[in-house]
Amino acid sequence: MPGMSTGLKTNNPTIVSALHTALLHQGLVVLLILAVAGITLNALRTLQFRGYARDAERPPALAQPSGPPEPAARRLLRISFGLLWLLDGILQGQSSMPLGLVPQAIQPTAGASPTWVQQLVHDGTTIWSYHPVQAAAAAVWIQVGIGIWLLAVPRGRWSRLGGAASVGWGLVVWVFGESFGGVLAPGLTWLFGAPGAAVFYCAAGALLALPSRSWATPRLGRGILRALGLFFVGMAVLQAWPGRGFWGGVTRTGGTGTLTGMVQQMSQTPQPHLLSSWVASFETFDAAHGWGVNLGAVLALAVIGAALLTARPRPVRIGVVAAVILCAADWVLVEDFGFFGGTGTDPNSMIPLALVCVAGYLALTRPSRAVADAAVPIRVPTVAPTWRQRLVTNPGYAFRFLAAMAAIGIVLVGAVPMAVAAGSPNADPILATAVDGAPNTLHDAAPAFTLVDQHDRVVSLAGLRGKTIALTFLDPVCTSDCPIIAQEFRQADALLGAAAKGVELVAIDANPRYTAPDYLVAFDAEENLSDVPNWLYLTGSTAQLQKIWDSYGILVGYASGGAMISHSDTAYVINRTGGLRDVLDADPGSGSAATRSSFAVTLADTIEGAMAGSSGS
Amino acid sequence: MIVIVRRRRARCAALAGGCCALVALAGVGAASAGAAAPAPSVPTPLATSLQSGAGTWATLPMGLLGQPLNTFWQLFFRPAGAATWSDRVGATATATNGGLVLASAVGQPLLAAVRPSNLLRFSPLIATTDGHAWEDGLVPGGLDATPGALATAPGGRSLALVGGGAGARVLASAGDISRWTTLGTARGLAAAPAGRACGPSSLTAVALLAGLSSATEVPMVGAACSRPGVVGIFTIGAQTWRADAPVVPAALRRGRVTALSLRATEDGLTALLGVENGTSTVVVAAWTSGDGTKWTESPALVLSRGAHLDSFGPTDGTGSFVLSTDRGGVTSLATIDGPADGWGHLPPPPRQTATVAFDSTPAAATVALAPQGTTLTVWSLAPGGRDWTEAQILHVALTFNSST
Repeated sequence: MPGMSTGLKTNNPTIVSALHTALLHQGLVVLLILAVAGITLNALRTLQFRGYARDAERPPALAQPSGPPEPAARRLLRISFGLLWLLDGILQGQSSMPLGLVPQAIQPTAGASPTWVQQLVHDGTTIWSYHPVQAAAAAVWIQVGIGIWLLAVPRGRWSRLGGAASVGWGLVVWVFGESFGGVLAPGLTWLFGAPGAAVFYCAAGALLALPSRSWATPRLGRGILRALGLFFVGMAVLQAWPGRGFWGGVTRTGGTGTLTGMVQQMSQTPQPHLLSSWVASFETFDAAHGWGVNLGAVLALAVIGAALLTARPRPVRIGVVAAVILCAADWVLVEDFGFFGGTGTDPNSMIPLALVCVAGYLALTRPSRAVADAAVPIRVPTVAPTWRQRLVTNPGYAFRFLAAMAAIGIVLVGAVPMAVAAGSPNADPILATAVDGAPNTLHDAAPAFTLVDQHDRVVSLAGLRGKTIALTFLDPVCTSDCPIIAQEFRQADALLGAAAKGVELVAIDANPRYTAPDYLVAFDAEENLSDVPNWLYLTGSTAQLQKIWDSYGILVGYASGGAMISHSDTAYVINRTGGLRDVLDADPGSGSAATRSSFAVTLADTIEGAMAGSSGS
Repeated sequence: MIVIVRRRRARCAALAGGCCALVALAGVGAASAGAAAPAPSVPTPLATSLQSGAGTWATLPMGLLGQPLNTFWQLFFRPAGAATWSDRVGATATATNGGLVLASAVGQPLLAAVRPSNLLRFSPLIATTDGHAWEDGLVPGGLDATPGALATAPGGRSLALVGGGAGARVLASAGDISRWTTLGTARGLAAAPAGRACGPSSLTAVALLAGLSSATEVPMVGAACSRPGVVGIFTIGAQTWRADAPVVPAALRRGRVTALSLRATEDGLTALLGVENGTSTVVVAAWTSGDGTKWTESPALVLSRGAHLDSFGPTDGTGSFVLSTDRGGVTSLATIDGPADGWGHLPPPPRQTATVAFDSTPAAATVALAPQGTTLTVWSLAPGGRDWTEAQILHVALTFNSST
């Protein structure tokens, strides 16, 4: 997916610092939300206490039972997935997430998928590439918010809503973060985490969103276990399918088998030595006994699947225990815990899968009779209390309500800035700052020049007085940076809108051999600049150009061995009175769509600043 | 009982359905990974050599050949009568990652065009008569990746192939190497009666054949034909195409023919044809001394199975050379002098040889240019000699990562 990687190192200090700052600021807002929720809860409790004190006997209509206990299976799912979401949120706060997630974690999976998946993922992750800091911070708070929501709100409508939120965000992660869990890519296998961890987050969320009465009978447990059984059997068939590279630790040509290769890759992830040595040992074992390892995996998956499909307590118990053991082994030896390396976003699929298995077993063997009883409508002769009445009379409801509100608030702390940023088609200027540093302010007169433009017309700096000038130096036969810089100028011009009428975009030839206007015309045609009315590409004799390069501090030199002319990538902004106002390092770096857009925004902002400064003076 | 059996059947059907869906999903992935590519036509490597009035020129790639943006094409020059080579690629003043295409004609300067690479879309063009002073021009389009994409004639007219594939265009210059007009297009050829017989998959070479009946040269265009056994050599004039091609030997008529090069000589035109017959590559030289209607073909030069072309070009006059490497990495050098001759083989050039260069002087040695990384070794083979001897080593300072 060209154009997605910014080319910046994932630990770029500018981006890392911006992420930490964003998390700190947003963390303060989160603390404020929690404090407000705590104070409100305290105030409600005071009201409740005063109410009790005032009325020695509470009215029967407002006497609220504490409700039936939460079913064990639901409690397991809620607490464990709440903790997982919290862990995932914390992992999203790693320093390398803003710049590393897309190229290192998302692109490799998407790259093996069909073109339409690649395009969909590309479109979705463009938001991340354009706004890496806001996106990373948003992912932190959305997941922390969902985690707190699940943990703090054990039952009722607000708890079910938390499950629905888990499904919604899980789907976003599954589609855009995991490229549909790789199910549409070749080499699909349970061992590597198919069909993606987010599927199990979604499944758990969907179960949590079910009404309480669903947990009252073993029926739900049977359904969960049969679905899992079908899944395991299907994965066994897939694992046994010949020709997919799993039946050998090494290939006939001496290469590594599919599983060995995957494990080898995982063992190279930065992690504690002890863990990498385990993975490396398994890799060696699989290389030597690939057929046996695969046979074991196929049999284990098939037997577990068959056991779960029975939906009877005894075989299911054996199947669930085996599934948990197999998941744990795969998690350690193949998935390598999933969250090392700086861009691991979750502990991968085995833990959530094992949790859903156990939850299915609990739902089968320990249905909540109390819930069933509570689900039978009790005819109360008095009017049911409104939510406001419950808020001031029922401490449990007040806590759940406020906890849910606080969790939603935390989710919004991340989601709102991200949504605002995503509404802009332009990239965050911080990417340009990360590549080249911030523009520097100058207070000198711009050196004069008189040259000819691409149409052989004489153009001088003095003749451009009254216009704000964005000036750069471009080699018309340059193969890398210059076309990108020209496009950044073009984008900046578009960003200026009507204000561009007062701006001239000026490039001066930076190649001592190709100085004829023909080259400038060819360059303009190549870069679609011919129809930009305020674009001037100037040239002159080599001596003239050399003098101007010197006066602007532009170094131009021949490079040996078939390399292009080397020259400084610099852009100046000259105000209407001919004063040099700003200098920008115009090195476009990787020239990705994100950095191009970011540089254009920076240039447009700088030009607007110069225009405002000129009018002020 | 019936109900239970039905339920079990339903479960089995669901199980089978689920498994089939999973297997189908995996199958989709596997199938997409194994799509077959169409059979290629004979490749046209850019490494070659030629002679101009000033001396002998050769172009070849150096650097990290597995990385396109760290592969830099060089322009080596040996002045007439001199023994040593020097690198003149600095005169291009741009990145040469895409390759260089050379052309010359009697009494004309050497033309060296830089093929586009990375974000460059047109081709800077430089010309020299002495190897020192250079004139600048440009081809307003990306020159095609074939050594025959540029041609010039004694009168100063030039032809260029740009665009590539179905969108290829033939450009003509009357003398000013910055001013070009479109002479014809690949689509025009494909639509013309002459082109339909060939089914051109690409245009591969141009030449200006000295006209017998008129003062101006006749533009000629070579193509790779998709129809087996058909040679795609055409004359073009005022958007009209006429087939003026030799006939390949009967044994090769199942193969797809590519016009590797067209070269105008004092006596007419020399063409090199590559035939891909499915198992091996065959090269045939053909000559016409008239208006392109009468041709003489050489015997077939059959490259060993799995061998690939490294370089081809002129020796002298109507002669041609073909450099190839077999599967085992052994390089072969075959030459042919003219219509009356057959293919001869010179001693195998040293490994890594990218191209060879000849000299019109009868006593001059044949030269093999063998680059490795940033070092070029020049090997020499005396006339009638059996062994190549090391004649010169050049170290070229490459600026790696300068194009990224």
